Amino acid sequence: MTTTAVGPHPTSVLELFAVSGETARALAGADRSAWNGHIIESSSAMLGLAHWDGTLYLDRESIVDPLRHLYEHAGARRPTPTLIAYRESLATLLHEHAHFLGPDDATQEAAREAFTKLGSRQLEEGVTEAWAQDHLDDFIHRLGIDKVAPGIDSVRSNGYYAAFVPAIRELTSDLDTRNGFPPGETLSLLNRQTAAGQFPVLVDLVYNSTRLPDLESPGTDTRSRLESILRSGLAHLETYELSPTDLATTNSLATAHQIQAHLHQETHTAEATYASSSLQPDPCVLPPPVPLRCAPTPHQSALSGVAPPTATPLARTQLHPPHANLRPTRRSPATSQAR
Amino acid sequence: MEHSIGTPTNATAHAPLDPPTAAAQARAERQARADWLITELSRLAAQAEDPHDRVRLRRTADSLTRLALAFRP
Repeated sequence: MTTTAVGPHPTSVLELFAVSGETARALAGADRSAWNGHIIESSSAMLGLAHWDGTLYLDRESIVDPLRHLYEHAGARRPTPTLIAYRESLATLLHEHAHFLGPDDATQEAAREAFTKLGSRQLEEGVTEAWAQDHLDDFIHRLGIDKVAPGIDSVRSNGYYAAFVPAIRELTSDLDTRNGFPPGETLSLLNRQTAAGQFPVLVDLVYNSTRLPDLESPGTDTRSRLESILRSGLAHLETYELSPTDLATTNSLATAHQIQAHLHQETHTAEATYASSSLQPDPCVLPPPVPLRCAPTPHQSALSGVAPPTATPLARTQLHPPHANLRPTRRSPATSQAR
Repeated sequence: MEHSIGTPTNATAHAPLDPPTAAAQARAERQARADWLITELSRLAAQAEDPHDRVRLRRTADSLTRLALAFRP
């Protein structure tokens, strides 16, 4: 199926498909879509597929036919199950388009390679589905489908990927809070990346939500340890992929909490290392300690009238500047790192 | 003289191949798991009586098919 150019709002399924890619891209705020404009109606176990060659595969019976029906009965009142079927078809369409999104410098080859890495599929699938669920009504309104199928924006359907989505929602909403972002920002940032960019962005967001950027110098391996925790934790989610929705949801959330605990432990340990080292006085910066006034020992009393062999009272005064200089100076990250 | 697939019969002998690295082995295991899951999901989806379950299983198959294709450029 080859799509065609259309006006503001599509009036047929072919026109819908033609504008769907650009509508999804604009909605996501992504630089580009790798979609090549081709849609193939398929008939197999899968419902939708964003192929690495840029082609979009959609199941004829479950996805394309309901959307064809939607435009063949434009403006008519439809029963709720029919509206839900339309919504699910559109949700799949938006989800698959989201897979194609990426920044200007992204390539499908790099994305494809990154997708095979540990935890990448779970991250991308969870982000894509959560984002598509959150933006489906906006997608519908931008395409004018709420006029073609009145009531479609007032019915709801369950989302999918219950093994992935709850964990991704938990992790990304927590990062929104920690980084001072508006709700949904982390999810949107990740959704604009291909698989090649998602983990670097996620690790940056985790790292920047801690005090570590102020404490440690560039070049430390903290980020790689954080990435390792995230990858192995997210990869674990596939354990629940075949589970019923409720069980998958519960375990997905529990896994997210374990990942967060592990990340917190890792960052807390690193922060504590730098914090404790920064409290130690630096002999290169601080003057020698001021002698404490205490009771002289018998040995000191016996020698109290004897002048010391080198230092004079004037010299001692000069060695001890005003007390304001005794305040511990925080060691720079570079100094800390060198130790 | 060559075989039909183009491998010369008098090819220079090479040292035995190195054992697969841990990363390569992990990749092969993930690929095999994806293939197995796609087959399993197709079977389960075909047997599912609940329409929502059927869609859930097919959507999961979508993701694994994308992964399986990523392993085979």
